[in-house]
Formats: sequence, C-alpha cells, structure tokens
Amino acid sequence: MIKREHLEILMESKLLITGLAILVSLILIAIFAGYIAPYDPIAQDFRPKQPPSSEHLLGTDELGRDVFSRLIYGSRITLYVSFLSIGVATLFGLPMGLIAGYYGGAVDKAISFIIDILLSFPAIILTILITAMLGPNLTNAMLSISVAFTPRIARIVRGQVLSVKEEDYVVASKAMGGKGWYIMLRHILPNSIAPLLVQVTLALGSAVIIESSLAFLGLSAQPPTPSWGDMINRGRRYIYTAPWMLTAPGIMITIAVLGFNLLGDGLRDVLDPRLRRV
Amino acid sequence: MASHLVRVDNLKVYYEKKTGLLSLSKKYIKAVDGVSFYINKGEVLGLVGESGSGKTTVGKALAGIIHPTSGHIYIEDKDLYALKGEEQRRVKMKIQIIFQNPFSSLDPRMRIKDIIVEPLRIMGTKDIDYDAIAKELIEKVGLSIHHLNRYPHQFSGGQRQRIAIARALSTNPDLIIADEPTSALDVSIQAQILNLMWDLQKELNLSYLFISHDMGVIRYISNRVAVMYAGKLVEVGDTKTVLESPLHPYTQSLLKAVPIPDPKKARRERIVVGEPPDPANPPPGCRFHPRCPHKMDICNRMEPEEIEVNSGHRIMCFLYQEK
Repeated sequence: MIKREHLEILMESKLLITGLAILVSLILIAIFAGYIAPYDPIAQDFRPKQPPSSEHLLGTDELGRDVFSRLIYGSRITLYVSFLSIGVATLFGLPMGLIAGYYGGAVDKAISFIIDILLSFPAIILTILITAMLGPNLTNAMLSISVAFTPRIARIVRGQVLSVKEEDYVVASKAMGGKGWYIMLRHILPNSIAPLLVQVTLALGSAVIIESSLAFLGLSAQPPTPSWGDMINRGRRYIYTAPWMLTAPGIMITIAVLGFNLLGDGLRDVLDPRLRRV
Repeated sequence: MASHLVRVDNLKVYYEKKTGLLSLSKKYIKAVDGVSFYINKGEVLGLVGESGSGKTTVGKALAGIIHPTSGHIYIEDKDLYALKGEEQRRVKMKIQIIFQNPFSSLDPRMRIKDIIVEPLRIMGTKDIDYDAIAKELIEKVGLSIHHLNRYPHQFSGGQRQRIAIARALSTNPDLIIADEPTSALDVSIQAQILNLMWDLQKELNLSYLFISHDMGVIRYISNRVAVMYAGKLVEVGDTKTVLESPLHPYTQSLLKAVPIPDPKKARRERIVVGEPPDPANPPPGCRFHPRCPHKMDICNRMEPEEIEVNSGHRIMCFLYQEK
C-alpha cells in the first residue's frame, strides 16, 4: 500500500522519469557496450576521418577508429568515474558532516576548517592540481574528484544535521539516554537523507563534466582508452574538416549531465514534503 | 520533612551569552534562578507563568535534557545529577516528558510501534516482547493495534499526542513532565487529551509536572499550582487557594488576564502592564516590582524571601513579610 503510493508520487514527476530513463539507457549502453558497438573501439581501419555513412554511423576519427563504437565504450569510463568517485566522496563526507554537525564545538570547528579550505578551490582547479601532482591516469582522476566532492557532501550533511538535531524527537531520544551514535544513525541520518540524495545526484552530473574536462586535458584515462573528453580533445583539431568527431561526444556529455540533473531535480520535487501535495 | 517523590532544591539554569569584542565578556541569561519545590507521589503540580518565565527550562532540567548550573533534583531522595552511568539512567527512566508540539516530537521516519518502545530499547531492556508492550500501550491511550505499523504523518495532532503519551508510559514512570501538552491542539481535542491524562493519572497513580499558561487547564488537572515569574517561583499552593485567593500581586494580575466570555463583564481595570524583564538583565530586588501595582520602597532594594503564609501556601513578596 505504501509502496504503491510512493510509486504514484514517483510517476507524477516528469523530470524524475525523464532523468531516470536517460540514466538507465546510459547504464544499459555501458553494460552491453560489447554487443551494441559495431566495431572494436581501438581498431583502426586505415581510412581516417570518414564522414558518417551506413558503414560507420558517426564516421571515423583521425586514426580511422569508429566514432560510434568509441562513443558507446566511452560511456563506461564516464559512469564508472562519476559513480565511484562520488560514492567515495559520500563515504567520507557523510560521516564528516554527521560528526561535525552533531557534536559541534571544537570537533565542528576542526572539520569545518578543512571543509572551508577545500571549498575555497573551484572543483575543477582542485582536480587538475591533484592529477597534475600525482600523475595523469584514471585512478588519480577519480581520487581527485573524490577529494573535490567530499567537502561538498560533508557541508550539506552538516547543515541537515544542524537542523534535524534541534527537533523534539532528537531531544526526546537524548532525554531517554540515547547515545550519540544511536541518535545519529536512528534519527538524524534517516531524516537527513532526502536532501543528501538530491545533492549526490547533482554531484554525479558535475563529476561527469569534471571527468570529461580532465580527459580533455589528458589528465584522466590515457589513450587509447575511449573516453568522451579525450574524443572532444582529438576532434578539436579537425573541427572544420571532421565536425562529427567532436559533436557526437559533446552531445553525449550533455545528455548524461542532463540526465543526472533532471533526476536530481525530480528527486527534490518528490522528496521535499513541502512541495508534495497532501 | 515527608519524603517526596521529587524534590527540587535551589535549581539554577543559566545560559552563557558571549558579548562584546571577540566575545570576551560573558553574560548569563538566568532562565531559572533558584527554584525549589516538591511533588508528591500521585500528585499533579501545575506550573504556570508567562512565555520566557523559565517554566519549560524547569521541566527540561527535570527530564535530564538541560544540565542545571547549580542546585539539586532529588528523585526519591537520590540526587539525579550526582548519580553516574547505569544508576542515573534507571532513575531518569522514572521521569518521562511529553512535548508541546506533537508534530516535532515523533520521528517521521519511525513506525508507531518503534516510537512507543524507544525508551525501552535505549534502556537496553532484554528479553521482553516489544510488540506486546506496544500493543498494550497503544490501546491504553485510546488508539488501536492496527495503528502500530503506520508512520506519524498519517495521524492528527491529537492522535500524535496520544502516541507521545504512550511512549512516555512505556517505562512505567513515576513522574511525567507535560510541557504544554495541549496548547498545540484544537480546543475540542484539548479536552480529550486532558481527560486521557486525568484518567491515566488516576489509574496508574502518576505524578505530573503540568506546565501550562492556560489557567482553565491548570484548574482542571492540578492539585497544586506553582507560579513562575522571570526565573523565580513567586507563589506555590493548593490549586483552590492559589486560583481563588491569590496573594502575590503577579498571580493576581495573571488571573485577571484570563479572558471571560461575557462582553458586558469585560474588565476595565488594567491587567499586567509592561513587558516581562530581560532574563539577562533582571531588575534589582523583587523582579516583579517594575510592573507591580503595590510597589513599596523596599521592593527595588531587596529580594523578598520565600515565606509560608498558610500551611503549604508559600509566596515571595514583601506585602506579607511581617505576617
């Protein structure tokens, strides 16, 4: 009964359904890339920069590789990096924010200080800095994105905790003798999770952009691994002679980010009880 | 002295407020400033006063939510804040609190059956059937078993307050602190909740500290009344005595402020004038003197002692000092 009611609310949000549809398709494409892609994404057919044709749906790049196949395989890197790095950021940011917000005082000051320092760098600058220092590869790109987003997640959680911990049911639970961890896990976390979910979804979208930017700069996955940012970088040089090389991955990045943002906005509509019809 | 269930001795709760450059100077907001009273087993003590008089703070200190700055709270002669660990927890379980707003006192993400037995779970009571206890309690407060699997948002304010009462009863408490339990509810629902609390009090021989600013509610439910003003108790006595022949000028003004439902009888005389004092900066001497109609010379120089005029009727006022 409750489940059906929830499903109805979900179905009401067109944003959420659209975003979800886009992301599910992307995930399916990434999983079944081997079956969808007509060519090996690394194989060259020695006829570079062919325009789109029935043989090569989106043409070939400067090394004669099939752009469509590279696009399909490129979704793997994009999704893998964004989910894993934001997952790690949440894993660290969530307890940081929870502890800072709940205990307050010196603990909060220390954690907030670290958060503020990290937040004073724009995410893209911070990630470039870290990957440039540690060396350009996929692992370091993910690591840098995690570092950039951990303080963002922590700050959102902290703000939520600060408002939830003043609720009477938390005060009541403390009066009953509830210990810190019990109250955090039983009362504060479940009541803070909704806005966090929205922010994590939006962060996934930002992570897609940042990963693509790093790849564009050659700081993420190294060639010949197919990735959308790297494809744009290669296409940039032939923008007048072979515009398909750059346009196709550009559109895919847009669609992926749009998917995450629509899902995030949709979730916000659904999860915020103030916007929900009674 | 007879052994009381609860004895509060010179309770003080100050809040620190940092002011000035670099927060160097500290100011204290004296929310509760030397309050003593007792509650007997099976007795309802009504605590009245204006907003900001410190009545909720007294309740929270008793419930163990706010640590008092000084003073003692004795539960069956055990000093609540001197006890440690397990023993303190056991004593605390004998006191439960019902909050004013039932919309924020129940966790929206918990089922009713979990909310009701939460105090027991926290206490770590083993080998008991939580579901059976929840079933028993929910029926005791006039709801039914099929409500147990629902969430708080599916209930009305009155029903939520019933759930909060069931939760308070789960540990078999001796004292329930009711912090304006009816003031967030519709008038028709208020009566139901009051009747429920009245019935439970009789049935389980509970004691209540009933905090309210509604004189009608206090008259109905309490055996004795304590009147608070700016962090001090100004008058304590039997409900009948205090409400029908109040002695302290503040209690008198407070009772005159109760509206009467007859426009012809509308009172012309001025009721309590002015604002309650700033608790960070209370007036010297008797705290009520700037608003008092019977102000004397001594009132702004010295603080009146508590005196007992009749047995059990105590007041803090110079008007009755020589008697």
